[in-house]
Amino acid sequence: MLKIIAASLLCAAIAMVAGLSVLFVVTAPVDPPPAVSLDIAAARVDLGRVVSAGGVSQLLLDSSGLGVLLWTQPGLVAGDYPLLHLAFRQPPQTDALAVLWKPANGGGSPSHYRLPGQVELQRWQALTTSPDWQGKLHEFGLVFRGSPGQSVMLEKAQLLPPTTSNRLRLIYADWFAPLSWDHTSINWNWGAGSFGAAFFPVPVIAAFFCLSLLFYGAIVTKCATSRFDWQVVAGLFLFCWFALDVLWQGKFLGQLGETRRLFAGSDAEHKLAAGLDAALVKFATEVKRQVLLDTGRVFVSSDDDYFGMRTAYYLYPLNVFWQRPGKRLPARRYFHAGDYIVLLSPTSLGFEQKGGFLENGMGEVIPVTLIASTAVGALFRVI
Amino acid sequence: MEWMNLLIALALPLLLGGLLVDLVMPAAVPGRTALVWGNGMLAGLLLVPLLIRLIDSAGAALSFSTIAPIVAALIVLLALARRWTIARGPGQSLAEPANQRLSAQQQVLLVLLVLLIVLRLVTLGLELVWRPLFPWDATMHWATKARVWFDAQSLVPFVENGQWLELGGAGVFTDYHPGYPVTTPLLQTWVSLSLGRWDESLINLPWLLCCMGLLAAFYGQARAAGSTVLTATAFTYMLVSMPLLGTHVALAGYADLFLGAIYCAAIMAFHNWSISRRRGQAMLATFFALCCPLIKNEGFFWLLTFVPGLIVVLLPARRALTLLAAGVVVLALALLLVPQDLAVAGHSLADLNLRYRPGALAGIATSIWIQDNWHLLGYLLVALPPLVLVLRKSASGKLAGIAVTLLSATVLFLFLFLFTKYSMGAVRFTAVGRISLHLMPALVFFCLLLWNELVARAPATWTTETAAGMPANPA
Repeated sequence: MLKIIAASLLCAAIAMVAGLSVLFVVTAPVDPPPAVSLDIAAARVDLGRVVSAGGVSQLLLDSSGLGVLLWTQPGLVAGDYPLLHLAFRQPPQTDALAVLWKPANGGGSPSHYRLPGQVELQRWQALTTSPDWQGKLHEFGLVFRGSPGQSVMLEKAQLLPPTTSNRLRLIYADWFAPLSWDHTSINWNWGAGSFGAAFFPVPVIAAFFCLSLLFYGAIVTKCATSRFDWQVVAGLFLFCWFALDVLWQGKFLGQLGETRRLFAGSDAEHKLAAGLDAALVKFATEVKRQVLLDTGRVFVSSDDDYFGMRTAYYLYPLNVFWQRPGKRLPARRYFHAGDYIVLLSPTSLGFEQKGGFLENGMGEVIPVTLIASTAVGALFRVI
Repeated sequence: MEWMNLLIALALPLLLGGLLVDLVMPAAVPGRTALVWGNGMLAGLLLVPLLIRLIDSAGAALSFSTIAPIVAALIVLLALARRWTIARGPGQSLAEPANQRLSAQQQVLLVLLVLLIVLRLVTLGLELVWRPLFPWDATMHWATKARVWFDAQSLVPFVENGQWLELGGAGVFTDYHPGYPVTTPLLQTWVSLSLGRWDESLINLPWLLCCMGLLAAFYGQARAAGSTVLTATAFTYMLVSMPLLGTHVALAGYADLFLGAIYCAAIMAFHNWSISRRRGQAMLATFFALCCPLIKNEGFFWLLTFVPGLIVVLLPARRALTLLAAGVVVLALALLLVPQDLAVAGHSLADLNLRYRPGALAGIATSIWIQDNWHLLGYLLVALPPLVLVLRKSASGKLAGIAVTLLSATVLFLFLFLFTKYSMGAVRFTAVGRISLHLMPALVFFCLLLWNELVARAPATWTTETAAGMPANPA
């Protein structure tokens, strides 16, 4: 039985490779544009500085741990370059690496995409991962975030056109892109790193399973000694399932390593300080310190639902009020002296410091005193 | 001390539920150990929150030192009842049925599958224990309540925003969905009470227990339904390896995993009752089905899916068909005649804004067949209708109850996304995957049953060579 399963899978694999090769050749661009090399020496350095040591240019991150390299590429068509290749002399070991690009028309704001997972010596990244990777570009850049003064030794950066070999690399980069939890992860898993992937793993593996079934059918029909066996079908199915699962488990282990690096061994407080919401947690902790527990009604507002919702959560068990959408505050009549108001950036609600009042978004004003103000938000007490 | 309390908090639901299930489940059931402790885990995760509600309504402050002894006392009572039952039982054997002979290849496959299951559980568990509460809704309306109840040591009421404003927040709290069922936040409260502090990671441990309970219950019920050890293990591996299910453990905080597990437990027990008519399975099915609305409001609608299943199981075919047809007519009339503002399980017809929304179809298809939410299960589901046709004798016989129940659930699922305002949840993929999670474990079980039927129809020579010793269905 194992031999028949192996034969069916092998035939299916050969047929699949042949089919894809034909598809790639038929659909390959006739005259693909040349690759675009991005030389660190030719880059505009917006943050950090580039130094040359031992014949190698390296980027030193600035005092806030940021470094930005920008290359002007007027008229470059994003769709012609679906793949980015980065090569480093040493793994950069930065906290984050993002690509950013500015559209050619100059009117639009820059787009950016944070590369998931840790970047090692080499990285093939499908730029089609970002739905914004389209139209004509004016500038393309790399943003590094790490510790102040850290050096990044970028040897090679290239934007690659969709030649046959690059398309294969693109599929590889898409399928094996590291998993990186975000707030959509709880709702779906594409299986590929890219929304715009040319091929998604599940339908491809399903097609592979169907092909293997066809070949198994052929073996049963042609070979007089073979009888149809449901166990062979099960074996083929389990193999395909297993292939998909290895892909997912591998990505998940990568994410687990990142989670371990961020949180393992920390107590509850330090975990929050290391997470995405570190700034919100710090601000909420400060608010809690200011607010007296016995009178603590706290109204939370922000133009950004995530910031408002998350800060409200970190403020519990205070008696918190946050509504969605949370741009406005309730009518003035609902406020009592001693209540607290937390306004988080960004907010369209205005505070008149001179008069000591806050506008609630409905044309009413609430008399308040400013208790604390940070870049994250401000705390007021109703008077 | 803290870790000891935590271990006790995690063990008590298992013991409470396990002993209860043990009491009602006959001894001579294949896969009994997994069946008892898997279902027991799930039952315990439902019973502890119910007990907390009971204790709170009696006016006692919620503390671990109050609740744990009560749970422990119940466990002692159950253990005594079990001893008494065994002493009076008519010679029931507690032994597992004889192990089937597996070929060397099958043994290797079995070990590999078990290792993969263990690897998945360990890695999911580590992610859960390391990562603080992460997903959006978890901090919007689930853990908010737990945080307050833990601090207040009482189930202080949560009310809608407007009501909170009118009351001036006196004695009440508010969040985005104050009316959602309380079972999930009570599990987080329970863990916090045992720790004596709020821990953003450890409060999520019940999700891991739920996953483990589901797997054990699935394996046990698969064995009780006549599956071989290898088949039951393979399908259990398929269940735990589905990426969206794993994600709901790793990024714990949503109630969908609990609903999926409880609905699956109810379906499995319902099926095995419909075959064996064992009272214990009936009790399990009833308990789990009735508990669905305690987890999420949608649970009420999943509970209703058992009505057509019961009709098919209990009545002769012709009467059942007539009754089902009548039911469809009554349902259609109800949709036309029921007042638009009458709310059922939190939803009214006016609120649902019923009309066909074709845009959701692509979202549903993408979620099931393109995204890697369920690996290849979506494609297996495509094969179900032809398989049911091939196996029509079984499908209209012993599989009829579960088939009709799951068909009803699927119709409800499609209706939700194709005809109500929730279609956006499919268009934007924000809900379609999560609601699918309620049904997918049960659908995996149905696939397993069909596989059993296929194997049973295989030629005798094949069966004896490769599936030696496979037990017949308990029926």
